[in-house]
Amino acid sequence: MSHDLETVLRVTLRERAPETVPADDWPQLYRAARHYRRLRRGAVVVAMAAAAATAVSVPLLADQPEKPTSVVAAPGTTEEAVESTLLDEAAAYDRGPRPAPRRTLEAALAALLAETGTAADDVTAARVLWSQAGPDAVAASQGPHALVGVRTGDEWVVGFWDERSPAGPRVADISGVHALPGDREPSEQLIAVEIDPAEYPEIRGRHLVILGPASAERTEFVVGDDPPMTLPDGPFGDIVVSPDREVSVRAVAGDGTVIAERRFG
Amino acid sequence: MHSEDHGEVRAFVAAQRGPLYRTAFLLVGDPHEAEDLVQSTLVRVIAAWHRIERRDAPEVYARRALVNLARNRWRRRRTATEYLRRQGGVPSVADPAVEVARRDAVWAALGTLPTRMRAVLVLRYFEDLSEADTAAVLGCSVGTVKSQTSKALARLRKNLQPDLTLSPPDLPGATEQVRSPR
Repeated sequence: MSHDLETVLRVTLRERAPETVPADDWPQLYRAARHYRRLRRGAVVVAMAAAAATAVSVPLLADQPEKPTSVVAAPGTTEEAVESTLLDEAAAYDRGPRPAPRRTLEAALAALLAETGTAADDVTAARVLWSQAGPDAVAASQGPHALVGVRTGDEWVVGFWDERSPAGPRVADISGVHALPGDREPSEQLIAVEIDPAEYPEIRGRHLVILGPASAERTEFVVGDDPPMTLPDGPFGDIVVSPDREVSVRAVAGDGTVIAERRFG
Repeated sequence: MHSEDHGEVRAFVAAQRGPLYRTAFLLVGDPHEAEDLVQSTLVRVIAAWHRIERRDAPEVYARRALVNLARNRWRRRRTATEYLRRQGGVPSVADPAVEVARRDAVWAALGTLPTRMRAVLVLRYFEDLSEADTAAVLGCSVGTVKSQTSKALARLRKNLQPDLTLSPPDLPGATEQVRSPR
């Protein structure tokens, strides 16, 4: 072999490039892209404010002014810098598109199998339905978390996993399990997992983790006789309501038709 | 994104995910980092699909986003990586075969290059992009690509251990490589 650097470099790069590529996860990619677009809209507002004021503190998301996260931009801050800060903030508050690390997802799937007593050989399919990498506004101590599902026989079993559950380092546990029909992908079904109250003792209420189907235009919930509320962050939601009130979770199509509904309490 | 776009975007993701992942790995040297990088890149591509289609080739946009994300990531990771290096936490792989050792040395030296130089080499020598295509991805002139390539190769050569130093190209014009189908 020639020893010229460019030849060796070319061979080295081809040798090091991995042959296998991780599997595609289209539903998660698509949801993340929708979420990112919302962040971008927020970023533009922040950048405009930064250019106009000596110092500004604005909401993270332009369309969610009630959210506590803010970015303070000094005069002269470039749009790129503001956006970068915004996205860092977003990741820190678990509002960004970054999914949990793969090792977390593998642990989540293992935990679901352990919780349901399912042998790996009986699993015909597995899906990561949603994952996020950082702490959550609802439970500040929450770590990387994920909604994962496995199909055995004629049903999907879906569970919510939190790497740093406040209940303790119970890395083999999964805090909620919910069965779905197995004839459709979980991404096409309404998922609403009720979390065991013992898992988050600081949350006094009914704690639901929700993931609407990809086909829904919005996902909303109704508490008692109150007007419906749309999940603010797209199809994924983490809500807490009073334990003595009924909750209905709905996936709604663009024309207002309720595609799917689950009731709690 | 309109529903009619789903097919196009999914086809793009299916076709480009593998090549992007390999390039990402060569840029960052870590499979998990590479996976995150590709995920972030594709999120941006999907989110901006309409705008990209009007202005740019999606492949070019995706590679530009990938390199930019890798650069931003490296800024944040530099401190930790430097610490690991000082602590001896970044292992080097020893191999008795001279050629393998030489490639190990080149790989290690590649990791010492600044992001932009590394990107130029990966795009030119792995992706087999022309100087013009590399310039389009990086958003710079062809002249800059030429000078960055030259500087990157010089730094690689300098950073290699003396016993593994490689000779200059055997033939004049050897830097102009023929595209090889992959």
